[in-house]
Amino acid sequence: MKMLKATIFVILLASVAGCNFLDYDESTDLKKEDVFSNFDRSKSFLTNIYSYLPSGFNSIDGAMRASASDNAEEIWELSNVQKFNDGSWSAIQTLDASWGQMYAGIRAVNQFLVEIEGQTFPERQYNNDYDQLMEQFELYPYEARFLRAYFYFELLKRYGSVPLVTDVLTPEDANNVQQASFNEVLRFIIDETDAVSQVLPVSYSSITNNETGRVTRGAAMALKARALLYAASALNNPGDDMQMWEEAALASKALIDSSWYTLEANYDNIVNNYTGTELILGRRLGNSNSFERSNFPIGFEGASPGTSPTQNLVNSYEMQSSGQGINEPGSGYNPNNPYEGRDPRLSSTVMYNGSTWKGTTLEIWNGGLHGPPQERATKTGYYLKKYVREDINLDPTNTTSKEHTWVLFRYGEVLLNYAEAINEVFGPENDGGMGMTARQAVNMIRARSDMPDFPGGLTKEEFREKLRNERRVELAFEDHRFWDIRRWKIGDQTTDIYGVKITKEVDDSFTYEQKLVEQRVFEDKMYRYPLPQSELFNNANLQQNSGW
Amino acid sequence: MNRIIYISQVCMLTLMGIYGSAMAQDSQIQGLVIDIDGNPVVGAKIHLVEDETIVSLSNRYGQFEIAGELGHHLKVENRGQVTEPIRISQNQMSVILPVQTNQISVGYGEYRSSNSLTGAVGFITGNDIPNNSVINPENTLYGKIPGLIALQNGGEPPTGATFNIRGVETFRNNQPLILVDGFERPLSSLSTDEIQNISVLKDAALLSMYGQRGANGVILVETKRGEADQLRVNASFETSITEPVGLPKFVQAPTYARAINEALLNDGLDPRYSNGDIDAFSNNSSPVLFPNVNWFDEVLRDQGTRQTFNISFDGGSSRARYYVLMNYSSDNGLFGPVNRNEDFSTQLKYGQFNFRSNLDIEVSESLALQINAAGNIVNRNTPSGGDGPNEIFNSLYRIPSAAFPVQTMDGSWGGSPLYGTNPVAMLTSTGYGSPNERELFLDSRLIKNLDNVTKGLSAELALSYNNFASYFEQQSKQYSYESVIPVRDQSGTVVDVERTVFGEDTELGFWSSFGNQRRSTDILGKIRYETLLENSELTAVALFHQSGMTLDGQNNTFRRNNFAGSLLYGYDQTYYVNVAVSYNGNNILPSNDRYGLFPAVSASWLISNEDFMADNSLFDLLKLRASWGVTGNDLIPNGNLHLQNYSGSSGYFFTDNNTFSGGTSESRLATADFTYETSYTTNLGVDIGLLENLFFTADLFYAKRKNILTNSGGRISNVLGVTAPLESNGVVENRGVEFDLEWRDTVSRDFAYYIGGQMTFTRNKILEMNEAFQPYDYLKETGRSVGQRFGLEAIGFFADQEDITSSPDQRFSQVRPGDIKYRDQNGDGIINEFDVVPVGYSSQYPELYFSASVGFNYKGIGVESLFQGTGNYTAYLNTPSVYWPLRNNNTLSEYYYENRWTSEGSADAIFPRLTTLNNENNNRPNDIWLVDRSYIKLRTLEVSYTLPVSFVQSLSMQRIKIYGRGMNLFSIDNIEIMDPEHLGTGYPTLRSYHLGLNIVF
Repeated sequence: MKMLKATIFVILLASVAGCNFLDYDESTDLKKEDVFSNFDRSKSFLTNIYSYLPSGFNSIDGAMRASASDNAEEIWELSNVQKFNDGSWSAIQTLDASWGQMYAGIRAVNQFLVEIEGQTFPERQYNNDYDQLMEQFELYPYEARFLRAYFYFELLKRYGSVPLVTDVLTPEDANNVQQASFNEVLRFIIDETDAVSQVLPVSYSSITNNETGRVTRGAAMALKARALLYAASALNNPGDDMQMWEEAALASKALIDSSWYTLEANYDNIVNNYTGTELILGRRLGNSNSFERSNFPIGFEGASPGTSPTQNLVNSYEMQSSGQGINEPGSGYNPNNPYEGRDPRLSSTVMYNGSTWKGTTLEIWNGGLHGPPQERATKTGYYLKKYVREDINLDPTNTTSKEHTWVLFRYGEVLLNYAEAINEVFGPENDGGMGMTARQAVNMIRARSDMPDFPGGLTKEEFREKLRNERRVELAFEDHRFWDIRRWKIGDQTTDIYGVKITKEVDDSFTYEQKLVEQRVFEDKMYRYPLPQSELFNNANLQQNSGW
Repeated sequence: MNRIIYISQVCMLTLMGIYGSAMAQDSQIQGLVIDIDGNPVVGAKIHLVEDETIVSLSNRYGQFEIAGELGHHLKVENRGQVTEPIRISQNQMSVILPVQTNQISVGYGEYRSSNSLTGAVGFITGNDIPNNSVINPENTLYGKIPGLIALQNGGEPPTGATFNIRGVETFRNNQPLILVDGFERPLSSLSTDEIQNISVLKDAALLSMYGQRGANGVILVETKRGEADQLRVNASFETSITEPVGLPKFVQAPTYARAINEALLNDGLDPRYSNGDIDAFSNNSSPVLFPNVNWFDEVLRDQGTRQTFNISFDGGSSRARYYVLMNYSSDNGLFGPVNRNEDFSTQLKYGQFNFRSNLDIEVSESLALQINAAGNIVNRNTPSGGDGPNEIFNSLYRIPSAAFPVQTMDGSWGGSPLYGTNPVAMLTSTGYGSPNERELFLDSRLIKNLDNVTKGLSAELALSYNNFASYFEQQSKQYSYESVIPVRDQSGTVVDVERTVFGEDTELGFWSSFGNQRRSTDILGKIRYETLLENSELTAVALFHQSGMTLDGQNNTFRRNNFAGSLLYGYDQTYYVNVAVSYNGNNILPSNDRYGLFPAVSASWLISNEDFMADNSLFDLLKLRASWGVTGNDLIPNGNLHLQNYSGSSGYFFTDNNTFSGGTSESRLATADFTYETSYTTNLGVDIGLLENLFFTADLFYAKRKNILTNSGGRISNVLGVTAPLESNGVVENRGVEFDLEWRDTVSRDFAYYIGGQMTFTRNKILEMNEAFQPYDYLKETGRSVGQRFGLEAIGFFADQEDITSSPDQRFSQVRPGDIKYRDQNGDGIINEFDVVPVGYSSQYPELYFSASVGFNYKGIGVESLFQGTGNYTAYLNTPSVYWPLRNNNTLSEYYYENRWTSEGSADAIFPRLTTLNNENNNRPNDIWLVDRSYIKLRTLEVSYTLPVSFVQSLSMQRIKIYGRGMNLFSIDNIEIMDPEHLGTGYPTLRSYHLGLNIVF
């Protein structure tokens, strides 16, 4: 009996003290209903989806994808980008995390579309700006659908055939999805861009809050045009179906005809310029200096350079006066003064021996302040200039950071896309009834940089070659060359990577000697990415791309 | 031989004495049972010879009360020993048993005699601890308790040990629960002198009482309490020197230059240094342009110093007893030029002041009160901020002797933008930091004797509050350094120098920050009942324990409720059965499923107490034990894993001003069936005492732990588009054996010795871990031990290009002669990630852990030693510069240089060729870098002299002892140039020599 009393005492003590003691939760996490029943949080969910837009600043393990093309070589030996070039790229060495990242963006879009359906945000109903909010809100599903189409294009250009997911998957679903064919994914992108083009605004400057940077009708049309150009190219159009080229040309032309965009007067202003007139869609970024750290020449304090533009790229810049390639007879090229009289885009894109950077003349000769044999000096004799902000300071005592904007679509590319597509169907000087010839389109680009027009009378093949060179030069370091090599199927022509060895002579003159820097491995299978091996393990329905 | 000593004599001999309050009834005899060490004997059975039905048991203080009268006789029975009848000549008396009978703390304030112990419990008393000279008591436990695996970390005070109990049973958090006086507190916060005893609970028999905290084992620490009824003062002083262990030697400048040239040549690159340069390094003709700096010598001194003062007072009256301690330890580190600044030193200094006051108050005859207050204050001084010492050591391990001079021609610091730091300047010219810590422990306990309700009933209420805070002050500055580069003409001759100053000298700037904090409160209520039936005894305990702990940061509060009970039944001092159960929950788990039930049953059989063993003279003790039970581990990530959360994440920039907008995204998918880890443990044990000299304990155990959180990501396609959930489905089994053997003999009054050994062997196996599919069985971690190392199998070095061409294609980086050649495990002609195989064992813990101790005492001269070792333990040698030299412009160890592959025949090369590149082919886990980490270390060697008692007593003292002691004196291992327990580049482990004096009066 007394034991009983005592036991009751303990139980009483325990229950008084312990009742709600464990109902303690410090977490401040939101639940699904907290997010989607609230306007601001729904909006921020969409904002997060924008952050999945890729940028090309050091996107491959601290290096640029350009270093996996013949435009550049990465100085840092350990970067995974080297594995694109040395043959160790494989399904277990996938090098690029886009597969997971793009599907993460896609899931977010799928979830967003389901969850915001029918939301009216009654808590805001009596606010004065309710109508404006709802006006923005009406656009959100279309913005999200554009982003999803963009993410699918990123997958499509890598893998060719990928699962086309428009639902929110459970883990079990994810392990059982089927791949859609290249054409199914392409059609999805075309249909979606067509659909959102009907609704998205041309510009946000007339919409409340003036939230420029959001995706526009122009972005949707540019995505469609690029997707069709890729689909018409040799890799994806083995039969060279002219209808594909024509469809691509029309899609580009529609955007050219809109006259919403104009070329920047100055080539230097096309990058890192989120308000530019040429920019259709940019990947905006906040203040940082990491790209500068990895691209300022060695010898500048705080620099640990990575990207070395190749001699191959430098050689593709023509002579300004003649409009001829440096190896063409009579071009006016002087091998002892190789950077003189070149296409002005060279000095905007590349730092070479004798360039000026932050008031210093670069000494990239052997033994020079910015040259080999120092550790992390350029491997090719060049440093990257495009996208690198000269107004950033890396001195430890006065370090600064600045905004960067990565170009996703710009008007210049649309003109080049158009020229390429229409040349395939109608040749360089026949507008096929579209109102602009291929030569006219490319000459607009040339004129901006004070380069002479393409000569008349070129054959389709001659024009194609010259246009490919023009595209390489104009779009250098904007993450096009890597993909162009693939869609044109010219990988085997890009394996020998050259640089320049610069010697300072006794009389302070320089001799320039081209040297082979690297011989790369390129196999046919590399026209597509391998699906990550782990994905194949987890989902038996997936098929690996051929050769991997 | 049994003796009776009257109280007065007991006091005179200063053996332990705690006595009941003044006289009770005439017929009540009060007494005390103590063993030869003066420890109270708990649970001894006291019979009245005149009336066999009158029996009593001694309590945790060894006290008993029995109805009897003067002139009657008592018999005391313990561990099968029965004393001769003892005449009662006073109302208060004391019985000394001629054996050692430790009362073993088993948690929640309960004690068991070794007889009634049914589970596996390791135990040491405070007497075993003072043989260690360490600041952090964690470092006293190497090889002391079978089943407790203690591994040493670095030497910067107060770095402690890493513990695990009986190996590893989960691939998540394996930390044992450490309780000081019953409450969760760090052992590192105590000083060694205040520790009374430590027990380690190893099997479910007792651990199930701890429910969700029990599965990793529990270390129970008790602090000292007032014992005598007269003042006793224990004072000691110790002075020590410390020296680093396992600092590698790096090559001198000429060798470095040759090595760089060799490395560049190996990579097909142009050499960096001319022969003239190398000569200049050798003859030191131009120490600025061609320096040869031994950075270790520039920055370190040979020895550090340490002092420890300790004084404690204990005593009291029959109503109140006290134990008060003050302890101060200070350590001066290994840095050399620390006094270049007038106003401050940049030495690494550590000072810890500990205090403790433990009070026992008899409020009334039936109400006892304990009040304990303790704490510590830690003040430190470090060079250049909080992480200074390690940063300096990282630089020491990195910067080549040829890189730059300590100072240039005009006294500026030397440097190079490639390295950015100058170790001497880091030590002397970056100011100093003061990380400070304060810790306070308070607890009180009320024990109410409820004999008036029911004989044998008592109730207890305890409260505890603990608080720890650290803060950080810094006076820091930056320094400029000058890079001096030779300017050469066409022929390579140095014609001029180019001097560039980098960085900036700044004034000292003050900066302070709050560091960390930890708060905890506990409340414990307990009801206890013990009774003696005719031939049997019964102890029942029911308790409720509520604890809350708040660590720094959000989602770091842990609240727990524990309802627990145990029932011990003993029959005839021969058969014991213990049943324990707890019902236990915490705030981390889903609210509808946060409690678990943890039962355990255990039994022991003292064969030596059986009648048929009565005539046996061989066995003093023969006892079998068995237990089975369930325990849990709730050291799982906090933060609502079972709920689908959304949280702030990457945002984006809109508007013409690029305004940032925050983003929100779906967090990791929720875990279904989120729960604690559950361990099912079986233990079989035997305890043997032979010939009064040999003590042997052995245990065999098997445990299976389920519901371990696994990462399911490897099994789920990334098409999912969100982080895959954690799942509670991992399973690990662990089995092992441990034993403890000791031979002790007191040969004569002047000579006694002991020799002993301990060993623990455990092996675990992952049964389920949600492992991603592996194309080959040998790649699987499932089925292997937790932390099993994997690597490529090296089959030599490539001799030449032809060798490379004719071998399978190695796909990690470009391969050249002298690179490591690997076995193609799957025969596909390509060496890649699919060719790794298990190599060695785990690098997380050793499967085998053992120790041996030997000591003797001859006429006051004592020698004590402790060796401790490990086996089946793997190290990954990837220390920069030492094993992976030259990459990232690091330096090169002499050991590597002497054992590298060279193109001119190197049949006995251990290491691959030199290269300045990162060389992913060589620098990855393989069996050149994955090596046997086993060692045997001499942890302690002590020589002491205790002055003769007669002399000491003539000074009115009780003891004077002087000693010399060495810690970590040597190690026998396979890792030639570093300490196998410390392979990183941080502050080294220490060897130390101590001289001490201990006085008791």
